[in-house]
Amino acid sequence: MNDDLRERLSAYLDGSLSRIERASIEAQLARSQDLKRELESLRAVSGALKKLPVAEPPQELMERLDQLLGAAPGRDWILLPPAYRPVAFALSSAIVCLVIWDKTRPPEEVSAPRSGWQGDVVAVKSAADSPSPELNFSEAISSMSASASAAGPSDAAQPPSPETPSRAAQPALGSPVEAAPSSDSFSARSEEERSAINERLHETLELEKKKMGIVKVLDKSASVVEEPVAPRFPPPTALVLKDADSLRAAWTAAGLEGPPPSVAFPEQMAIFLVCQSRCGIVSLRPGKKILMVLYKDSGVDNAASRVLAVPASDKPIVLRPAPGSNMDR
Amino acid sequence: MVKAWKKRVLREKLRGFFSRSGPLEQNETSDPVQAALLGLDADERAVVVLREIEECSYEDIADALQCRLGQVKSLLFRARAKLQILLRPERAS
Repeated sequence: MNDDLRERLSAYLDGSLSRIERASIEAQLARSQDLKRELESLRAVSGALKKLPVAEPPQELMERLDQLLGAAPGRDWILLPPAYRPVAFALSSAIVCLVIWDKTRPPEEVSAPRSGWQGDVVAVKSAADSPSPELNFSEAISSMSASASAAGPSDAAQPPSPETPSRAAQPALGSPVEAAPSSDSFSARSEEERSAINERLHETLELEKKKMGIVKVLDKSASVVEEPVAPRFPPPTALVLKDADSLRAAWTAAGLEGPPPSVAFPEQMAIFLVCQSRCGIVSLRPGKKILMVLYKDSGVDNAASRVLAVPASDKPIVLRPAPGSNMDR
Repeated sequence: MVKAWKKRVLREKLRGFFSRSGPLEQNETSDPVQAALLGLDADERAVVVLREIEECSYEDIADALQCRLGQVKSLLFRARAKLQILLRPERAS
């Protein structure tokens, strides 16, 4: 038996031969008893080696071995080679930063409406559809009743406001307002007190609208779209009023003096500009699909300039600062 | 990374080798198999231990000992042939 055959037999024992070599060896094994004995002998040696007892190596030998291999003892947990560690560190840091940023960032704010944006709109109750004939401001009124009576004398110079509105045309607030239990006490007050209360009420409403992020007011049949203005002026809001009672209520609630301008309802409707600065309506440009209302800072708080009678229409209304006005962006 | 992993594997294998064969200086041993192992050359012993005890593949042994596959095959054959002689029943008795 030559060494080449024995070497192949050794590899056969380990299962390291190709398929052809294995078939050849197996054919020879079937023929030769010597070869079979040789294989058994090799298997016996292999078995004897596998039965060797496990001995604990001396500690200093293992330490020397670790030094030789460049690894400190007890550092088996490090799987990443040094070259990869900065990358892993950067990645894990980025993930941690992302999680922290996500947890701590403030909630998204309601942004000013973009041109043509048709976002949140609030329906204006027209007088005919209002389920309750009472004012819906009872909560605010009752909370202010004490301060209003104290402020009464200072408002004495104001002329008496027109008759108390019985119906309201105001943007519906987010939270439902309860029925008015104190309407009797409201009508029992003097004209000056009511006027003062109305003024405060208007301020409260504006504040509420700001808090709630309401930037648009929509009538049931006509919609209003606003254009964003420079941040130094709060964007005005337009109320679309379709009957005399609504107009009177809005007029009084806004704290404006004198009787409201006459509008020929229902052929006409009134556009009422609600703004904190002294702005007024300049003109109306009727378009094919929209009604564009131009406004500007009028310098004086001219009540009449904040109301415009226009032919009744269902077209959306766009508010735009008049060109050349200091409200123009 | 692969290199480090291979280093680790090799260290484990060598640790196993030393665990089983005992200190190299200790030539006197009562176990005939261990004595036969000590009668081999260092290369032969390494190959046969890695193959028979640690059950490494030929490729892994070649990689660990930095030699060719054919060399592993012939070293293993030579080691086994020597062990066959050293562990013959008449010799052991």
